[in-house]
Amino acid sequence: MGTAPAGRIAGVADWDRAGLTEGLLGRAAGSFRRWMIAGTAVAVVLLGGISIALAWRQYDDAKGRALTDLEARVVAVAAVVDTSFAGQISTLEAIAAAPSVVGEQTHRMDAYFARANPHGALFSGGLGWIDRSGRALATSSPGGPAPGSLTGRVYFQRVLTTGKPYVSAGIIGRRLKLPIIAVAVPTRDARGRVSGVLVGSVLLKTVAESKQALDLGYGDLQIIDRNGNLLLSGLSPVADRTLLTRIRRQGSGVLADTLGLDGGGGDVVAFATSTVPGWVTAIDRPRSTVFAAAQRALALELASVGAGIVLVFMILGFIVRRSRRESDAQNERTRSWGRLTQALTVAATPPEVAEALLSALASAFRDAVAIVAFESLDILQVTTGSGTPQARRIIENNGALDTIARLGTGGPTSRLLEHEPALASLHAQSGRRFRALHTLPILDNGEPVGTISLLGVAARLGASDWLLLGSFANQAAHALERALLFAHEHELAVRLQRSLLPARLPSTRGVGLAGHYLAGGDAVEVGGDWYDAVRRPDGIIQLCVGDVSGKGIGAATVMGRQRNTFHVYALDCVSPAEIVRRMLRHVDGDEMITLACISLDPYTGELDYACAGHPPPLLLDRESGELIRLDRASSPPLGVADPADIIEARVQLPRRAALAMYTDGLIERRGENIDQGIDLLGRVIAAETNLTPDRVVTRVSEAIGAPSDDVALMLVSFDAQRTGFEVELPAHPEHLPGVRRRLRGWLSRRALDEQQIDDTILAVSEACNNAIEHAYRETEGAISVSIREEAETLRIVVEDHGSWREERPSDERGRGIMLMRNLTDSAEIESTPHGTRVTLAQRLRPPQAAARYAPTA
Amino acid sequence: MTVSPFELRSSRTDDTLVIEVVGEVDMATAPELSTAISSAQEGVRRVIVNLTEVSFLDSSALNALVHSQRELAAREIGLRVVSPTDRLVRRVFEITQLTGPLRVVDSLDDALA
Repeated sequence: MGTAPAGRIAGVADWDRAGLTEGLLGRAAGSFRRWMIAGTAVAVVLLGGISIALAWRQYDDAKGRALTDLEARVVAVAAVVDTSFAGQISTLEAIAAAPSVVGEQTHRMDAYFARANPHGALFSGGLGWIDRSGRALATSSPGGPAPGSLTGRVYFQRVLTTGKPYVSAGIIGRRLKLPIIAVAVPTRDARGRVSGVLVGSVLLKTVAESKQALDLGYGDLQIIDRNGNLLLSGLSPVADRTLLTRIRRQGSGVLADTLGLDGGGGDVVAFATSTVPGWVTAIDRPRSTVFAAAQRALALELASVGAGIVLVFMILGFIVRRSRRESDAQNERTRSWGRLTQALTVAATPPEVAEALLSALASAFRDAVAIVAFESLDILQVTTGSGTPQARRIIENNGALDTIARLGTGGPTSRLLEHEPALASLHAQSGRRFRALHTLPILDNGEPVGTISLLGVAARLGASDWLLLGSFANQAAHALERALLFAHEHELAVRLQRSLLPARLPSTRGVGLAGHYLAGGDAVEVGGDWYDAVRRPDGIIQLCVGDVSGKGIGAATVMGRQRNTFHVYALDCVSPAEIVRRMLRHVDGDEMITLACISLDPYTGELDYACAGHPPPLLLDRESGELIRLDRASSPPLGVADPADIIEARVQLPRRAALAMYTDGLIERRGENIDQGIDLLGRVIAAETNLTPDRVVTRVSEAIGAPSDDVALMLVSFDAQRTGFEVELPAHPEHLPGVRRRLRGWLSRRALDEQQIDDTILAVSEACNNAIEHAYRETEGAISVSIREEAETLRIVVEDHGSWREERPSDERGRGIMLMRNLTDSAEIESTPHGTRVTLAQRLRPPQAAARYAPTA
Repeated sequence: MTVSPFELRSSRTDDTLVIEVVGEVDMATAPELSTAISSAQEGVRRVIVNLTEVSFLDSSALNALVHSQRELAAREIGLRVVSPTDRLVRRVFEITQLTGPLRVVDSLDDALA
């Protein structure tokens, strides 16, 4: 690519370069954006992760705090229990020191106890004294001490054994049959000997009964006694013995992963040991309750983090969109450059170049109005970059285009409109939108060939803008040069092609001929397709459509030669097969030609055809709508076929018919079945009442796309009714039967009865006899027979150009004249030095009205 | 250009030469008819030209017949022409008023009578 000459713009390589640039730009911007999005996303995810981790830490801390708090409460309760029991023990010890107790005076003790513990104020279960033998001898209860021995009680044994106070586990009181705790201290007599045990019993209530406990957050407080029974739950045992073991071993603490004291599960157990009674105080709470606050805090935290991430992504999306818009705008100019290159590659004419340039300018300078002028060609175009037709109108109405175009030739210039007298009005009329005019010449080899102008608000253009405009101008200059060259070549090709195709086709009354040639592809080269028609003097029309393979001058030369050959042989013989056979003689070894040849007799309606490697002509019966493919006389193409291969076939022309002869370019499309194309052509011909070849080409192109190859199409419209009988024949008797036969064919399609037909034929024949006899007895000459239908009368003129010689007996000549006069309504014979003209008139009669050969004599 | 069939068949019985003509008798073929008529041999007293199968007949044929009649008359040979009344050919004789002079009859039987 680097070695390409600087001036070369055209070609695939440059097209590719433009495409590549655009693609790279697009990709670069795209990948930058992708990286940015990915980076931000990763950062956000990282930050989010950290936030979540921190939240989790806080959650853990909060959980820890909740546990610590729980433990602290338990420890406090345990301490309270200790203090409480220590107080009770002191109270008991004080009571034990009372003289009545020391003196073991039971009756006084009863009274004393009742006084000391009025209504169970100190010891709800009562106060009593047990002597060493285990009998309860005194009590604060009015009912007196319970009977029976208490030696089995552990507290009794322990106090006696150790001589120290003791707090019992939960036991069932003997008298009240309720769970109680016994606080026992030893009593001593005056000598200091242990005389018995003073017992204060406390009734155990379930915690649930204590409203105060609930208020203080001790609703789930439990006290486990030495036996592992829950004092505050009706002495029910701790279900989970393992837990109990752990608690005992540890003394105090908190266990967050237990099944709970009742074994129910999912509980946190905080516990502390009270040394005085030897109990364990515990709070057993569901984890969800303990951690509820922490969980709430965590949920709140996570929600904030999530919301933060969403917000960040929303902001990111907004930024990305903004940046994409900005980078799009940034790239638009570079893209417009690429698009211009592309558009200019296919721009074949100066207006197309201007159009491409304008659209590139419009997209590169969105807020300006672009004007392109190619001066040498007087092509002046304008477009509005900002898309307002008003802007265009303002410029056009002011006649400013010419001024603007002229101003640009100097060099890159920016002008303020208010300083330009010719353009000052634009400024005001545009609502000050047109403030400045920036112009740049389009130079071709240093010569200005046009200008690029921008009308806009900005007073100056940046360096990059001028650079872009310069590259636009450069590209446009090359494209323009190419377009001019192309136009020249195209014109040459078209002219050559036209010179090779018939300027006019020999249409006659009732037989319309029309040909159309359409150059395929870029149309710079001439093609090898042709059509031609010859009307023979005898009225037979010879038609030919052919296709020389290849293109350019070579193909055109072969085509021209074959056209001439056809012309000569079409006059020489009637049979299309014979014409093709003779044309075959003029085909060189490396040539390949396909063609369809048709001989059409408008009078008899006989159509003979021969096809050599060519798609079949189509014949449409206008009356029945029937469509016939003329495909019964096909042979290989010329260049392949032997003379013996060439055959012909005949069909009878309908009274009203259309015939289409064409080259494959019309109906063949890449990848499509040619049969479908032929069918389509048939439908098009059948549908169109006003058939012209270019319409047919248009319709076919609409259906299957524009042809890529050359197209030659010849259409024949035939209407027997409208034909006139126009025949020139050599003045020789041998031609007469043929003329009579053809005349009969022509007459039989008219409103004549059999007798009139016979009469007319004989009359014409006599007129011909006359000419042969008297004008050309010894010379070669021609007779013309012309019959027209006018006002229900056949006007027959038989002319010769010979000199009249009276050599025969008059009666013989007279018989012919007598016949003519008797067989027609009028017969006139004029003789001039230049020949003789016989004019006959035959009034038409409807066939049914005629009598059949009634004798006249 | 296909030339319509023209055919002459001559047959002789006793003194009568019958010439059957088929096809079109025009400028091109009339001379043949003349030749056939004048080729009547010695002993022929009567020539009958049967035009029943003739599809077309023009003034050349009439002239040929008139000539032949004169020629034969010189040799004392009579000429008769057969042309059915329902044909165009008969009309030609009628228009030119040669039905009588050329002794045109409707059928071969009439001619032989």
